[in-house]
Amino acid sequence: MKQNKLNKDDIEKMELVGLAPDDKDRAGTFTVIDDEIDKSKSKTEGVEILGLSQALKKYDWANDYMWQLVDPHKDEFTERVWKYEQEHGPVGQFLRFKKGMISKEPFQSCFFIKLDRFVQTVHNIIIVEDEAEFHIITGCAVASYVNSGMHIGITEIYLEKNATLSYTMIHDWAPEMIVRPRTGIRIDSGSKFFSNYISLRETKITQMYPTARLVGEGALVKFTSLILAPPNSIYDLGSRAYLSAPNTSAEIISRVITKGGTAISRGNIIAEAPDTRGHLECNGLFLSDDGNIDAVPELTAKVRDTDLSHEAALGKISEEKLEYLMARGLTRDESTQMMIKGFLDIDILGLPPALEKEIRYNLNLMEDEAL
Amino acid sequence: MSGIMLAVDDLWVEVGGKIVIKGISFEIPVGKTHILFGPNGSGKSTLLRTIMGFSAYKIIKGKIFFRGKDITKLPLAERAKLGIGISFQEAPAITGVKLNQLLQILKNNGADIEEMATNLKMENHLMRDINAGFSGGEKKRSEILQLIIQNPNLVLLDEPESGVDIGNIELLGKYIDKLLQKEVHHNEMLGNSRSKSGLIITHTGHILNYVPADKSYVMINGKLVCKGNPSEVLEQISNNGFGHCEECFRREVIKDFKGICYETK
Repeated sequence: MKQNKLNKDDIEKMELVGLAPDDKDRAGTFTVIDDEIDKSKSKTEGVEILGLSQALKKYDWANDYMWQLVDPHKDEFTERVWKYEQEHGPVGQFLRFKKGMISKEPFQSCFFIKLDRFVQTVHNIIIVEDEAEFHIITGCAVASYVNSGMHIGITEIYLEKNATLSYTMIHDWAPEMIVRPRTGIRIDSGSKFFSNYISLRETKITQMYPTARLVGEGALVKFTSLILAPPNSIYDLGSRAYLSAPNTSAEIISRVITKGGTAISRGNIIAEAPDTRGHLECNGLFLSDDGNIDAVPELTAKVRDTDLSHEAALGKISEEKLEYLMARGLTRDESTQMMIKGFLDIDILGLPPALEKEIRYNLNLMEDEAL
Repeated sequence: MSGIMLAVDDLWVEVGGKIVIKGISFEIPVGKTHILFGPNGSGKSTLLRTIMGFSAYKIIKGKIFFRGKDITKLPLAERAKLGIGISFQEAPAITGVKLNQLLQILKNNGADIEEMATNLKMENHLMRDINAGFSGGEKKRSEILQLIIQNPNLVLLDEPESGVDIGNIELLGKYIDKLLQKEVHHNEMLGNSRSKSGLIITHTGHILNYVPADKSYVMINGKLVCKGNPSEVLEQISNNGFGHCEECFRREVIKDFKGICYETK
């Protein structure tokens, strides 16, 4: 399939989900448009980026990372990608952060759809070698005229020992888009993985349940999601962590707002080893009389020496807090906006300042439009 | 403009189906600070919050005038914009909104936010969520800081010193004075030179050691039962308790008891 060239409008949409078109302040770039790689570029020796098909040819061992953390027969969506790969080979990135390398500048990737009713199937392998520390900003979006289609993204992330990766994903879909990311993460001793997911726009359904396996002592995972469900949109989001080694910990935090849509916030922490800690937290806010929010926390302790907890609070914005701001002269609308922006505060993501500033700016634009 | 900052005329207020304020009238002239004493549950906070315009407080009778304008039906935010400001007795935590963020919006005069925050020992709280995890004293200082930056003409303070240690009451008092322009010499023969007025609820009266006040009221069971010089009324309450004020009011023979209860309505 011959892809269209990106126009100004497309680039604006990509920028909104975090892509710097000129790679400025980025460690590298990988973009896919529909089913073709548009750009694959590393700006630092610490980062190796290849198309996944290319990587499988280049390295015999690359195949050892394929379908290890996501079961190809898990559901119809994984099956679909798996079958596609049998016929056409995989489309996606093979991203390797090399041993001991550290970068404050994030690596960026973007998966963009320009064809209406297109089914995009991507497969990404990300390897963070020992002691490497990196950030990834991943954006997914569609051209402004695209109304329906499907995106299935298989992502397998491997953190070796004492490595750190923050992975921030921003989505901007369309009213009839079906979105089914399937993500597995393996975290070895002393490594830390921070997953941040932001989506404030329309989707028919976005459903995912990324699963982290903490297999080495002292590993840590934190999943944070900031969601706004517009009318007719369904967000069914969960995060799962297996605490399979001693002294591992998991935190799952979600802030969800409904403006008439459905938001389901799931979480599951399974403690299988001693001296482990896990916490689930969901805050849900109603901005409309319609819509619903479900908080579905699950905690499983298979050992005695663990500390698992969860808390959830769903409701509208507290009148007391609104009036506190109104008593200072802000209107009801201004106070509400301020509270919502505060509710979706990206401070909690712990990003490097430059990236945080950028995302804050984009998030503001999206919030203003959504509200 | 009228020389009266606030006039409350036969005010009756209902909260949660219960009548809490039962026919209160008083006036605060421009430049004056009045004090509201009274036992817990007497309706002091309700009166302040009704003047400010919080939605839970339903005026069933009477009127409120601010600088001659009838504000009885004016919404909360518009009253704030007109120049009424309040410090909360129990300020809620506003998660996600930084203190500095709000101060930048409130900035209504030349006051330097950083400098004023430092003066009130709140410089390390500017980048924190408003009141989130603040101690009792920090909350009170945060309230006064917000009011100084907001710069209202009528300042309503709901127990500004409760839960604050002595050293910090002095600091708070100093900046409440600033808020009420106490540094401006108020010569009534020359007309009003001070443009701020205040209404302060105090339980203990400690704040009176630092903030000069012009008049005080005792409120009991939704009514003003006594009116007089703040330090004399405070002394009376300290010596005889609020029970005495109530009794004194009930007997309605106040004029015969000069020196016990003071000037009444």
